Amino acid sequence: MFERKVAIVGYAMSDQADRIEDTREGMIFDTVRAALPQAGITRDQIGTVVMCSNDFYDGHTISNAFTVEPAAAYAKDETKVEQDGMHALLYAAMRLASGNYDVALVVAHSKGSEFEAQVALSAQLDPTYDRQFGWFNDISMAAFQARAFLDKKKLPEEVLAQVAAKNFAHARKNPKAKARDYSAAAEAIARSKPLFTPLREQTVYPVTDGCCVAVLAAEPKARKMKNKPIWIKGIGHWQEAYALSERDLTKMESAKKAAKRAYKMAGVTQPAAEIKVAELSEHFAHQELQLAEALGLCEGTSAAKNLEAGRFGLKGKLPINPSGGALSACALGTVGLVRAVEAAQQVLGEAGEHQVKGVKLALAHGQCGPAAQNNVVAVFGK
Amino acid sequence: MAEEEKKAAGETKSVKGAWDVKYRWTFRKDLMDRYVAGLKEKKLVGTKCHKCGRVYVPPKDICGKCFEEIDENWVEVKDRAELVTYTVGYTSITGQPYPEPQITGTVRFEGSDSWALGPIRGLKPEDIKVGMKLKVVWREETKGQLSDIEHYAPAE
Repeated sequence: MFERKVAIVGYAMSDQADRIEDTREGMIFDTVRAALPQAGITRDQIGTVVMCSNDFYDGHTISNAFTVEPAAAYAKDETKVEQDGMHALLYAAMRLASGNYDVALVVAHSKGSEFEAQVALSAQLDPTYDRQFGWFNDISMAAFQARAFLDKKKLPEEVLAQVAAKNFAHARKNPKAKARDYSAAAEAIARSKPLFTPLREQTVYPVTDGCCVAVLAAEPKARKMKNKPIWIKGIGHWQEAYALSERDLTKMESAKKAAKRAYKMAGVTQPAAEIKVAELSEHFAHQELQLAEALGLCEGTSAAKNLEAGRFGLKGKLPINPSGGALSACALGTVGLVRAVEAAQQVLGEAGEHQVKGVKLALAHGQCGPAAQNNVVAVFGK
Repeated sequence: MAEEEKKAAGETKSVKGAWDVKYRWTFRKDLMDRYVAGLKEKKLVGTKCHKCGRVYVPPKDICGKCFEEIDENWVEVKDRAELVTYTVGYTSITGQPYPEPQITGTVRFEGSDSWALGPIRGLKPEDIKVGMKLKVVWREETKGQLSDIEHYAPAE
């Protein structure tokens, strides 16, 4: 339990695009400059700034040394998380809950157009056994997970294309999603270029440029801000071992445990009924199904059946990724924070064309590490 | 363990090679283009913050201290500078010994607030003094590149 409740009280997001013609610093500056007035604050009211970035993606060691000024962090307490935007959100929330600060700025960013994502990501593999021969990367590691899951649940490969088709249809209603062509239907997606089976080009995340900013405040300050506070009702963080052999690839154990912790904190006992919308970081299509099951969002035990019945679509009983999700836009390291901001917008009623009606509780999820090794789950509400 | 086994294990425990990691950084607006266009003319151009008056050479369009955008506020500074601080290097940046020590310094162009970094030549290490006046030694045939500033030398 947090000592003091923490809420999202403001936000801004750049386009989540295949290429933003600007420096990283410029992209961050423009997004932070938009977030401050949206939250109704000025720079001097920020107590702490939590960046989320990755040196290897940026091509600078301690890359947050370069982003201090554009992130409004000059002469301020500034720190960095090198995992996912949800980890940065959690860390910022903890800094506020501690009582040391009242307002935090969380800034996640990366520019996929500037580095070779799979070169950087393959460096996360064990150098001795897994990296030496150059056989594995982020996609092939997830492909092992996808195959294990599809075989266990006896699902055809086509179900992956259905997840992507749903999320692309959602992305068409999201003005921020500009990372790829969203026009394909399931049949075309199922025939897209195979990468590492069963994963194909269109059932794998697009490498994207983007910046996402969230302004957090702790009570009592959070109640005196310009916007309605969207409280972190519950949040949980869990991680498994790196080695695939130490994990059950058919389940998402750490996501399940993270969710359990978040639900307990939020007092959610029937997530499938109480959660009205879920924004999940599905870097790969199969992960949306696995996450839906691990997070208890299904009626029954089969996410695939729920998907087919339309439950997870924008008009369904529990829309998943009305924003389009990570399959539609994936600026590495920002994805979980984008999901959190999307979830907050759903509760606020500010989600525009992809708004779900009557949202009291929204869920957001972030991940990092090969095949979703490390997961953070949060429940947001008024 | 037999010698061949030790050797085989040793080979598996060492991996030769280098990472070939490519980056393609982006520039912001036309800041770099205008800076190097100035260098071609043997001119130094920068930007000035309309709020605090700070002059940035090379040019920036974000004043970090003010958290303000500098919108089209260009100034020219002289190609003369003051030596802020320096070091005499006896090795390359990767540790290879230099045959002759190399002096590098940080210099502040007259009229600017920010510092540039570069090699200082035309004097012996024992003759360097912080605060000394320097001039830009331009490449004879400038190309519109950062290397048009060849080095800094004592001003006459």
